[in-house]
Amino acid sequence: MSVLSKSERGPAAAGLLIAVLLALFLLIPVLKVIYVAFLDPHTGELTLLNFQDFFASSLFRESFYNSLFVATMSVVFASIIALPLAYFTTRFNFSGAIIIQTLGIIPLIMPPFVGAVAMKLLFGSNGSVNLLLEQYFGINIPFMEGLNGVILVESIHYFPFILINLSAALINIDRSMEESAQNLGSHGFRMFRRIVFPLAMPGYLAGAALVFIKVVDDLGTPLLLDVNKMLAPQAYLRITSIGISDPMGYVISVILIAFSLLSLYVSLMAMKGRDYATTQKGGGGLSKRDLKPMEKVATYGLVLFILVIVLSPHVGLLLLSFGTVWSFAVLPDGYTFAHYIKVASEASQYITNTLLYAGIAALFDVILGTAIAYIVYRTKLTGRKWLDYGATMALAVPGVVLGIGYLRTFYSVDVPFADQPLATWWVIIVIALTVRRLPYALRSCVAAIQQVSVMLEESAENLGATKGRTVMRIVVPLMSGGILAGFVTSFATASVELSATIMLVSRESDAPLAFGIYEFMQSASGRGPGAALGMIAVVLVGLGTYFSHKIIERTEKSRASARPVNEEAKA
Amino acid sequence: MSLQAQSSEVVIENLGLSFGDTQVLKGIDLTIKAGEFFSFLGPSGSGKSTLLRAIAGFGPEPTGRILIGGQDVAKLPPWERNVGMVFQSYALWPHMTVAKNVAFGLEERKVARAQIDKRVKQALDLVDLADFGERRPSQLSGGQQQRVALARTIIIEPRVLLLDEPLSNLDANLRVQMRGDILALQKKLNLTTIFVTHDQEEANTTSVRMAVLNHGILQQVGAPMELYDAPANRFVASFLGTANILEGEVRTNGQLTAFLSSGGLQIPIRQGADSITAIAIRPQNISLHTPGGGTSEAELRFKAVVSDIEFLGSTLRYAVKTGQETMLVDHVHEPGDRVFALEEQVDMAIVPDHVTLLRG
Repeated sequence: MSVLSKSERGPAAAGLLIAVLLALFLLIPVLKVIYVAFLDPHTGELTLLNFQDFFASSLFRESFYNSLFVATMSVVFASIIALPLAYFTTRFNFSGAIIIQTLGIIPLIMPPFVGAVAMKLLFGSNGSVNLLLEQYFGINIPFMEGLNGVILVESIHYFPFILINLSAALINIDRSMEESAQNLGSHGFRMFRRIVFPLAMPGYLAGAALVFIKVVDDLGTPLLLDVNKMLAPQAYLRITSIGISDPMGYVISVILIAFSLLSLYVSLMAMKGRDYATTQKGGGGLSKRDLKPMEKVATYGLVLFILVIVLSPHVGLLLLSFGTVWSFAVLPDGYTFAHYIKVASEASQYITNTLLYAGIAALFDVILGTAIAYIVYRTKLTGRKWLDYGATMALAVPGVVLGIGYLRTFYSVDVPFADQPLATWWVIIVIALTVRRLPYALRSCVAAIQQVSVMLEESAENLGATKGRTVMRIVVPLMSGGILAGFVTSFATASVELSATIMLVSRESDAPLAFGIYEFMQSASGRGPGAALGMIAVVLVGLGTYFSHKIIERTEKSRASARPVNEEAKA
Repeated sequence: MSLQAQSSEVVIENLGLSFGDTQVLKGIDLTIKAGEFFSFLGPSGSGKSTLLRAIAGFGPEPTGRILIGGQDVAKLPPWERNVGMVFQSYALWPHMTVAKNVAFGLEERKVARAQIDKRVKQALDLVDLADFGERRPSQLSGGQQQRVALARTIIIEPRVLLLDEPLSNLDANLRVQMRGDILALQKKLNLTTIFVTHDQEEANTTSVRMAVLNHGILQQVGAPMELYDAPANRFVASFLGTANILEGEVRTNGQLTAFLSSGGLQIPIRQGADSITAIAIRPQNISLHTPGGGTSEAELRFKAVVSDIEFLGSTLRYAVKTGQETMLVDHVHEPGDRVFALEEQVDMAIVPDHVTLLRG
């Protein structure tokens, strides 16, 4: 490598520091987990024995198949929900489109495990729906029995990933694609099957792969539904009950990583060379038509039905948080504020901890995200792309795996003055959240920096500003909308993270909100307060999502008004 | 050649079309003869593409009738019209190979597989892409994609071939070549062809006849040279090439009838043209001379001053002031010719026979 110019020294130092941090808190823990999975626990030699043991055990084999089954079926059901919604919004002039857009986000503002218990009360064998079904039809449908429950909760929670990706893909298809098919004699469902859907396929696959991996990685939902024979719960139970020296947790981690990489590969392959976004200038998306009256009734009916199902965890949680006793009844016996009062007096540390942890994590995320975005897009430093890849890699690392990796790697690292291992210090939770949410903040920052014309920086330098001053006075202010959106996204999602933190919480006083909800929900008497905490989380994340939306919208607007100037500059 | 299509006449009767409250086509009446190469020419927003799309069955349902080979298709869905359309963007489906793209229309018509394979081969042969069947559209150049789009359309043996600005996405050289190729193909298949363009050179070089549209109204229909030489109104006169348009009115004074422009130019015209409100003179039909020559019946002379000079390569374009009018004058450029200077006094000569009288 050639000698760095003066203006490259600062970014180079920052890049090096980020690389070290990523290595320390992402790469090494993950490699450690993989390494231990191949280590004989007694002799310390490299071996495949652990994997043999894993597949020799009927419990683990069953867990493996259950995870695969649940993830696959969740994708199927999520597709069944998402396909009609995507189809209606992109094909018809349909005033329900805005409902569907909102619908697309609502499930995501609450982690699936939060609604799991409420879903049991609504759809369980003694839940509201089955009580009604028994009363009127004499039937009982096992919606929530065993794996069914996990599939139901996961698919109604994660279908928006398919909806969003598929809708975007459909919108990006140029009208002429469809018109030329009609011109050549094709129409209706046959045309949809031969032309429209294949063109939207990459978007669908990307969404489906995301749903698959999210379901495989989810820990809280199966645990709260008492389904332990799945991969993530098994890993958690082995580590927490037997200890961090038991190799099975590591073997499962390796399998989870493999699944992650596989679905990432599938979605990459789906997109590769098939950027079917074909819209031409002035062409516009698929042509929309008006619904006939009968179609309108049927469409609204279907959308309403899906809406009810999708919102049921939220409704259930709301009822649970205000309900006195809710057992063997369609609705709670009475309503009270007691749970919220109890939470406020006894469990406020969960909330303050969460605000602190998620706040610090999100702050570090946008600082790192901005630095990485600047280094990747504004410097010519060797290996700069690897910072981006490295940070994005966190997406492929399941929370359970990161948690196990931290425990294993940092148990032997003592923190000076705190007099305890790093692995049990509260700061490790913050670090885990920072690493897990860094990809979100990074994408926001990258999008923001790509909007900033290099010429704006060059003119600052031309007028005598140094690189550092230019970054502070021009680049960061212009990126502020994107940075803020990144902060809010990281903050909101970090405040309900469970799968990594659940492994790292060593004492109640350090625990964040998601952990508190999980703890409460485990006992029948704790459900009310747990639900109240859950509602607080929903409001927190909901507000965050709303504001990040607003921020992005506002930035886009102000950019749109500034655009003509940019284009003149280009010409 | 088995791809010989039955060519059909297209008759458009009192066609109107609106996007919501905006009327974009108004009272179009037009007959396109069987086997004719016909152009719709107009600026953007003139409704030419909308008219073409209405023939194919896209866009809002129009009022009036569209007869293809005697059958009114105005109410039929696009897939029952059997008219072939080549889209401006080509609209090749990226998830299918070239051969699959071309075969699509026949598959939709449930033609037997062996027959489809044979005709796909013929169609690709016809556009010189026989070896490209297994490629993806994204692996082809713009011109090749264009030809695939043509093959995909003519394979269904359409009654009419509709081309929506098919050359606009190609670079200049390829455009000229492709223009020739399309024309040759059209002649070979004797297909009724409607070509939409905003480029008058394209329309002039290809079409037997053309229709000029503006603001959704048909301005004039005829052979390219007819339209150029005898434009019906100000719009056609200025849209086809360059024209000096002088506003004014007809004055009759005893025996003499003349057009008096608002800028003070007086040009004698034949009698009985009282409704004339403007005249058009092409820059190449005016010439400049050193002062001194006299006015005659065959050539009118006006005193003028050179106010601007542009060198355009093959021509020199002068702007000269005479009275209150500024006129453009083109001289063919030949090396060694006398070039008038700015502010120079000149005589401007106009041949009355070259003046076009405009009513609209």
